[in-house]
Amino acid sequence: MREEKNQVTELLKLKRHETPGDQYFDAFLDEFHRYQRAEMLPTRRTAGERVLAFCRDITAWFKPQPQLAWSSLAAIVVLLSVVSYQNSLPDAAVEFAQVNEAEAFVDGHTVYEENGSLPAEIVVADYNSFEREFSGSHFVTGDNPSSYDSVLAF
Amino acid sequence: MEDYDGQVEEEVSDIVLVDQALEGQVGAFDTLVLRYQRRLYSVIYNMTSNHDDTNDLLMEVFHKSYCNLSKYKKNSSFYTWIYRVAVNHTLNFIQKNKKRRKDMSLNDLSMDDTMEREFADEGTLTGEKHAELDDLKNKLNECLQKLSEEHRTVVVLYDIDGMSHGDIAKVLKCSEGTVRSRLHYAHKNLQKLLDGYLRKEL
Repeated sequence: MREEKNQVTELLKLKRHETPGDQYFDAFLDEFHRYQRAEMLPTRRTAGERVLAFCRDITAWFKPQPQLAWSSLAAIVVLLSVVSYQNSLPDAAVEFAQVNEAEAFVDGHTVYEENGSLPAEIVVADYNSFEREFSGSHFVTGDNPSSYDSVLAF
Repeated sequence: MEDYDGQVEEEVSDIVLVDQALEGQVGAFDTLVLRYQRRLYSVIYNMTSNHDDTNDLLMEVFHKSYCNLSKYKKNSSFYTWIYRVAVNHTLNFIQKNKKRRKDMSLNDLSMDDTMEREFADEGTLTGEKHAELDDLKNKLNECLQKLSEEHRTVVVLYDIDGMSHGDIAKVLKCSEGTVRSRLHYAHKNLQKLLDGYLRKEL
């Protein structure tokens, strides 16, 4: 038994001589420099290649854990359905946005109630009213109102 | 370790070279590459039994070491550190490529012509002896690949590279007892796998 063990050790020592030769090692350093330069250069990839790489990474990540892939998919589906359900609701925010859009023409003194509800009355200012005239930077040339860079104002 | 008698002197210059490399002296790291390329090649090759994989892995190991040189803590020797990088990188590679390696034929595992010449560096081998040596080399590679990664690593570091138990423990970050136990079981497994050959020789 002991002899067999020694023989195994001796056989393994033979593998010390298993080398590719001096030629390989002489050229190795140059090869390594080339490799290093290539590694340090930034790689430029097209958008398609980036998408493919992303898909490959995702697939590789989920491959050993399929249950995680299914639960992630289920989570995404639930999230999408919640978003689409919210979009289908009559949205008070949309109405609010429409009011905001009209705000340029609204009397600046309109006060919103504290609970956030819409003002009872929206007063649209007259185009040539005092408020309208001083609500923004407008320049008038001749009869037509026009906006332009104030630097160029004369 | 029996093969590293001049270790202390060598380690001092390793650390100096690391410092110089960190300061930006290009040639310093080249010296380290030249110093360790053969030993690391041997370790990686005997863990993978494939020259092409070894070549790629060796490049990657040196590149990785160069990029992470600042992380090297000088409380351990540089050679322990770079061996650890090499062993861990190779083990990761083997883990990732387990399926491909299962499908490998014996020819993929064997050496190329240049290596065969080095392996049988006798010059005076007869045809019969050469065939026997070829057979032995293939059998050895095959048996090594049949060992678990942990067992193969300790066999490569101890029997082939000639490292001490203590150094292997440092490289693998485990106790010396674990190294001895792994070696014992690895030798036992190898004896079983090489049974026919050992009987023939006896």
